[in-house]
Amino acid sequence: MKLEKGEISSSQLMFLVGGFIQGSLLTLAFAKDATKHDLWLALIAALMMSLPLALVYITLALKFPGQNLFQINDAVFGPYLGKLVSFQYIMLFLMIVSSNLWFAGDFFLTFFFPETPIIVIMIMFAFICAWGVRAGIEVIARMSIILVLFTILIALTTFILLLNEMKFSNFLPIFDIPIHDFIQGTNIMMAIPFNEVIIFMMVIPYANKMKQVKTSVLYGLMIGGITSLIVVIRNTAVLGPLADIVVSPSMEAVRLIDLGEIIERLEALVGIGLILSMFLKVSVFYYATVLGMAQLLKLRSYVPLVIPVGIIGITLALTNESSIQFTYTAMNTYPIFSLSFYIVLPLISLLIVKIRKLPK
Amino acid sequence: MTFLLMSVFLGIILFEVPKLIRNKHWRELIVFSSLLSMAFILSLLQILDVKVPSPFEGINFLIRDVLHLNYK
Amino acid sequence: MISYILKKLRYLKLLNVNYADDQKKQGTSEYGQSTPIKLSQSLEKNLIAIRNLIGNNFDVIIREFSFGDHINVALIFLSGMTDQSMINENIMKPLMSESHSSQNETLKIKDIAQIKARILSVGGVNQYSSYDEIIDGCLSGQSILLLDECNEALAIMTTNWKSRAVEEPKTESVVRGPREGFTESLLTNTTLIRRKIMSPDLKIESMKLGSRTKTNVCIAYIQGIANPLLIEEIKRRLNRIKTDSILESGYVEQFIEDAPFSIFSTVANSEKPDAVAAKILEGRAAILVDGTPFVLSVPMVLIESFQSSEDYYSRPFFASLIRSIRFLAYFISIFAPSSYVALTTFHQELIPTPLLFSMAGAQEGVPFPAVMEAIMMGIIFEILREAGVRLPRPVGQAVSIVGALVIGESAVTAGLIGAPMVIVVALTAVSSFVVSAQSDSGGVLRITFVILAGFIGIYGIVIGQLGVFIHLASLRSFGTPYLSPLAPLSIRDLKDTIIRAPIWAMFTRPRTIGWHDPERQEFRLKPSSPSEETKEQNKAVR
Repeated sequence: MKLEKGEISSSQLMFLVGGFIQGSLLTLAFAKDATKHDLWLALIAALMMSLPLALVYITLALKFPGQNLFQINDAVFGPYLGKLVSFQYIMLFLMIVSSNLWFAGDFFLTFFFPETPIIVIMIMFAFICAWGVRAGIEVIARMSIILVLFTILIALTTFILLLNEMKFSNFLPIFDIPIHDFIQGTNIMMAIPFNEVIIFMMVIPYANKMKQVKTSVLYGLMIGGITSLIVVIRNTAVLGPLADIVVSPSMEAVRLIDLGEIIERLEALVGIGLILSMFLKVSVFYYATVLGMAQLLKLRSYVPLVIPVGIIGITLALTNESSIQFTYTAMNTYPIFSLSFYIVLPLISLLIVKIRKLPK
Repeated sequence: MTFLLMSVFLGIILFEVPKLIRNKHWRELIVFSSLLSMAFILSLLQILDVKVPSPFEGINFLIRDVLHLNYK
Repeated sequence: MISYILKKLRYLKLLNVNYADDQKKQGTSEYGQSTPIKLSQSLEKNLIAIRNLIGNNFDVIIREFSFGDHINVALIFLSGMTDQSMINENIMKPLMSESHSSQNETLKIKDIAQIKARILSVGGVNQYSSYDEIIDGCLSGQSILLLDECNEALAIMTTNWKSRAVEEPKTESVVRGPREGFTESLLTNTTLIRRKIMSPDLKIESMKLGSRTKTNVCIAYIQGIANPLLIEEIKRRLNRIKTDSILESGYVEQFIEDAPFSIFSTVANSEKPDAVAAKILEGRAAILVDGTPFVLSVPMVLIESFQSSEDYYSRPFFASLIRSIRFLAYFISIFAPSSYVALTTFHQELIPTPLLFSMAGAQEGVPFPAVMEAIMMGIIFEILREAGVRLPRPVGQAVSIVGALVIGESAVTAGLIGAPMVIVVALTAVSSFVVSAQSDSGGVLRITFVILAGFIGIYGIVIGQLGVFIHLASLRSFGTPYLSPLAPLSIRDLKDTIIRAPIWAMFTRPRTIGWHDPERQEFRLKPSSPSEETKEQNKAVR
């Protein structure tokens, strides 16, 4: 019995992918330590390299129509190894959910509500994501269009309002960082926003026009990538060398908006944009986790699992003690760790599919 | 604080379980209960300020100390 | 605890008993316990049975007379609901005078079918043979003719009762457009719709709902445009209603709606025939209920509450402006109090500095925190609004004076409430009446957002708004997603949401509702000057 009965149209899929990548707009800041002012180059390089990877994922998904990632794992690796691989993916997704929750909570704690306990912010966010996941992927896809439009609007508005503060000389000298750092920056960029498109292998089976899936996902990637590029260029151009030092360049950049003393102090806009886009990202990961668990354990519906998984996610997130530790992990060790899941495993799956000529 | 935690979990049980029993989804009920008890234990440990090992530290340990593959 | 739960589960099983069906099985009529179902041959027995059922009422008239050579007849009618002149002229006069004219023929006119065919000069005549139908007919204004030695009776349509004249609806008034409104009589309402759509495709089917009120309910739709599955679904849901009384269309709405626990209604209602006719022409179905001027229309999408029929009669730019202002007013009415609370409590840095000084000065001596002020003002406003609706007309002035002076002026002067808060609440109040169709959901949303804003500021508002959005996106009204055309994005239909495209540009019906017959009108209907028109004709010829 099919676990998910909703259907997504191709334009909804495109906006869902786009909004999902925009959800990492503030985590782009992780790479700035390595690449300094060449962040935009790293972003473009990561985008270029993740387009073929996205094609790999889509090819795998289209070879097994109607089956999501975990069913594909079962078919490719065999019943037992496939279940092990799926279990590892579920653990990864759960960890990503909790790290995103932590990140959102920490961001709001630092800038907006210094005296609130972080658990309150995380609980509210997890609550709304849980509500969305219980409603189903179709509802989340329906909301994605408006959320994406809003985020793009906020990004463009802040960009335009900061035009007179931009100094394009901040981009020079181009490419003077050592290649080792550049590779690290690209790796971080790929790990955090772009490669997570693998999650859409869970969503693609429910699209109703299979032929347009490829274009939808690629366009969505481009939408997300271009929005991220706008934000990165804005930050680097406005802040210059300051961008490497501050915790969150977006906030510092937006703080400089001052139009006639009336339109100023617009940091709350950045906060709102962050909530809207992170909601999409966390919801999709949450949904994939819960759906995967239900698939693995052969349940009839994933709805009862939503709340316990959410609470586990929150408690895992609370095990972090400091954001510095978290940043260190995200910058240095997580990209390598994610390579095995995002690049190695899918490539192996594709090779096995080609060799064994699946599906029979 | 423990009282608040207990009441929240009781609320969750009252919210989800009647529908499961009415539809006779026993397998889902078992999975739900086990996950919920895991969540309960974890949050109880959090509230009592017991240091729970974090999976992010686990990644750090694996990549940095065992494999030495990290960047810095 | 466990026994309580088990008891509840057992109780739920018992609720599926239908007592009306049980009675039919016993072979008695729905009304009296001892009344047999069919009429008997003897007039005396029939009359005794009918007198048992409805004889005690002072407005039931049972007139016994005879015609021909002592053929006994009885005429039963309700004096308030029937047309006396029709009874006198068209029923009793022909019957009585017929017996005097030709003595020979009356011997043959004993059959009730002959009476129906040759004597009664009335339009609608039905022949019934069971007590249920006769009593139903009598109580809905028909006159019953019973003949001796005949086990069938005639029900003659003589319905005529006093009802309100067609006048401008009080809840929806327009500047430009027809000022007719529905009335409480079902026949008048269907006539008003038929006058707008004079096409043979307009089908109006009726049924009776409510076991005691026996209210007539009609479904109106255009065959060929409306989705047949939709009509089937409506009929299925209406047939599912097994209740005592249907007094208003609101009862029907609450029985057939898709999401009974949602604050947003999934069934639209309107009091104007042209609005309902426009909805029927787009592919929806209208449900008319006897006794109320509010006509339901399904399926409903959220955008409908922002559309008014006047938009389509005015010119496009002005209509688009007014519609945008409506959206703006709706957002102000929901988010203004909560934004004010969030800004003054949590995010003072967002307020421009000169404004901040004056607001801080006004808030200086106020004892309550902003949240409590907002909630108090919200509740007081709802009380005033409800009082304004319920009170008798002469007292109205006093209430408005009390409201304005006491609450506004004196509260501020006494230092109970800050002046900016009064301004915000007044702005909210006025804006909330712009989109009156959503005023009930708007009130709940407003208070929820205020509480969330008081709890955690702008984060709370955004989270609350996401929650409302999730709820809206998951709502369906009879199969149509509630947020079309925004959510399942249909660019073709965005012409009618925030802006109102000119009439000549709306070639298609809304995609999710009227997809059976998508084309409304031809292309190229934009009016142009004569020289351009000949140019276009030449182009088409070539």
